[in-house]
Amino acid sequence: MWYANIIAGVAFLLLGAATVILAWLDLPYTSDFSPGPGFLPLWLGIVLTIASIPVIITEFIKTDHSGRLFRPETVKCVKVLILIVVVFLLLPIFGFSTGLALITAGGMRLMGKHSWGSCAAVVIATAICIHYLFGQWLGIPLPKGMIGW
Amino acid sequence: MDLLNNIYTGFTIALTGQNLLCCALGVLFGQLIGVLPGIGAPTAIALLLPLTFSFNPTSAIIMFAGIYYGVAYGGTITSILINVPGESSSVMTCVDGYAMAHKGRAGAALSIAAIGSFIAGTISIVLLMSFAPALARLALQFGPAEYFGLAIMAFGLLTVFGSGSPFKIIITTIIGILISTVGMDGVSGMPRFTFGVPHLLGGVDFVVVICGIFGLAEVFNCIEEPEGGVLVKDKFKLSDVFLTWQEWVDSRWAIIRGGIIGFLIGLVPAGGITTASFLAYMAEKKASKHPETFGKGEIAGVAAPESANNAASISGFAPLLALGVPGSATTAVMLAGFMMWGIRPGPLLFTSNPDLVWGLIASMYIGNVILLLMNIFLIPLFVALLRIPYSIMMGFIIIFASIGAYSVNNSMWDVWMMMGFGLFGYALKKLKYPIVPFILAMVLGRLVEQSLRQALILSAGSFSVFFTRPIAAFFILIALLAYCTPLIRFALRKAGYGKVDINIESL
Repeated sequence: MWYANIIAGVAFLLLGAATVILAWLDLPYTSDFSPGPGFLPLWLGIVLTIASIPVIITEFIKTDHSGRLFRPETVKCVKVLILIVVVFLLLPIFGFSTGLALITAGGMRLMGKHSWGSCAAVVIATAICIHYLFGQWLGIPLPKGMIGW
Repeated sequence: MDLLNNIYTGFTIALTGQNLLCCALGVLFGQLIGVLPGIGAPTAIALLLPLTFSFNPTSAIIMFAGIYYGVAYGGTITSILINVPGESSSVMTCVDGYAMAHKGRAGAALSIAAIGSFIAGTISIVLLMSFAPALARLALQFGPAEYFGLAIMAFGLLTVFGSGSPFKIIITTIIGILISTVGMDGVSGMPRFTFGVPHLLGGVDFVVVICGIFGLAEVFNCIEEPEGGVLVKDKFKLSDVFLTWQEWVDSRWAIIRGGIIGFLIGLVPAGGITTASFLAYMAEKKASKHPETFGKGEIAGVAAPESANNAASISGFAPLLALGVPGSATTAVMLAGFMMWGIRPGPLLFTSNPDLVWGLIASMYIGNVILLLMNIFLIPLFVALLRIPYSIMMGFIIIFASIGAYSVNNSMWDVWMMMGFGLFGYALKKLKYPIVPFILAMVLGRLVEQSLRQALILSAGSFSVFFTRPIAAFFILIALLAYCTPLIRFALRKAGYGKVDINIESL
């Protein structure tokens, strides 16, 4: 876990430094009668950079390196994430209602031991509910797929 | 007389059919959310917020308030029955509540939690009615310097009440403010950090961020750290919920004390309902003639934290309504709602939107009565909910988060952004970076920048404006003291005073 915290600390330090550079180069520090659009970002970048340093140092000098970043369950998170990304990429084919219903059913398969039959039933019921509840009743123009939903 | 008139106006608004329905739905939904571990009040409100675009603002706010204090009630049920707090504010209830359940007094524990919450909630509403307008009158004297000081004080107090590294709190606060600066600058019209992406010109929408942080990120966190417990009893009869006379006597002062502590902590920006319940529990243990019974099923150990968390959730509306500064993640999400409906909370809200303010306050009375009845008669229903597998619930959270993000601009860009913030929130939680400062900073970021720039314009660029105006100077002094707290704690520890920690888990 400690090395992840060091990486995060360095990432925040770099973000702070990048903010300072961008604010300094691209945004005016002052305007006619007040601080300019670059004033706050510049100072935020400076504080972020400074605040990241103790986090990095603390992790470096830490002697207790117990605690794991990844657990066996993390694999499930990755699977669910891949499922969501794949379905979002395929939304032009499935449409929003069916796509989100597929995520629900996929999650049931990945996380629980639900049968294919119950997953199929959930896809149909959820897609219908999303379509009518959000698309029709609440009037949200959900993107449609090839099947017309 | 004014107060009575306002209360009357409030009830006429809160008792209209639509508002009554919204209040009942809100508390029911809040109670359900509280029962289900892994979904909190900010998540619920964040996911529902985009779906209420077309609602009347008063009805929507009444519903969201119902969710907020309903969650404080609902989290108790899992704490007592399965030793898993549905909400962080119910952590302290686990200690004696679960022990009571093992003694066969789960019904009594649930009952005193509901009754305590009701009485303390009522105390808090009465105090809120008297206090909030006075606070609003005081806030009328606030200028940009005072608002800047107030926001900085709220950020500073997060380091006092938060747990974990103060530097991590500062980092997430800064990132929150930084994200609020993305988009067109309000004064000069110059684009900032947009990198040529037209979608970013309007800034990063708060709803998109909260759908990711509280929706998707929570899904990942719950998959990785499944919470489980053993249900001590799965069938309840109405007779189980009756208290003995001794239990009444033992808990009466705990309820009053808890209510007052909760009210006071709720008023402090960033105070939080978890802190309130923790302090109420500790105060009760200290006040008790038999402190050794705490942790072994002492009914006052359930009554005090439950009373406090409900009182704090209600008084937490005072800084939001009177000052326009949210004190918690939930009220920050609600502030986003106010902005979405074009309403600016703050001192003028009491005169510009009295219907909303007093309707909301009156609805809290009604909501508390509904919750009391629900908690006594619907316990078996909530117990049944505990059996819904997370594998099913997870899908519904993703649906609400995705549709919530999409509906902001009807754009897939926002859905992908929501996903990015979901992963960011997941990483933050995994690495023990607190989320609440990030959310508060994001929602207050524009206020901070705007008030800073306005104050400096008025003072012709002199920073002395923050130290010569007494209220602004007071806020900034508190903020400076708050930022020094980690040093003070460190010094106290070095001097042998042990660990001085106020909070346990709230952030």
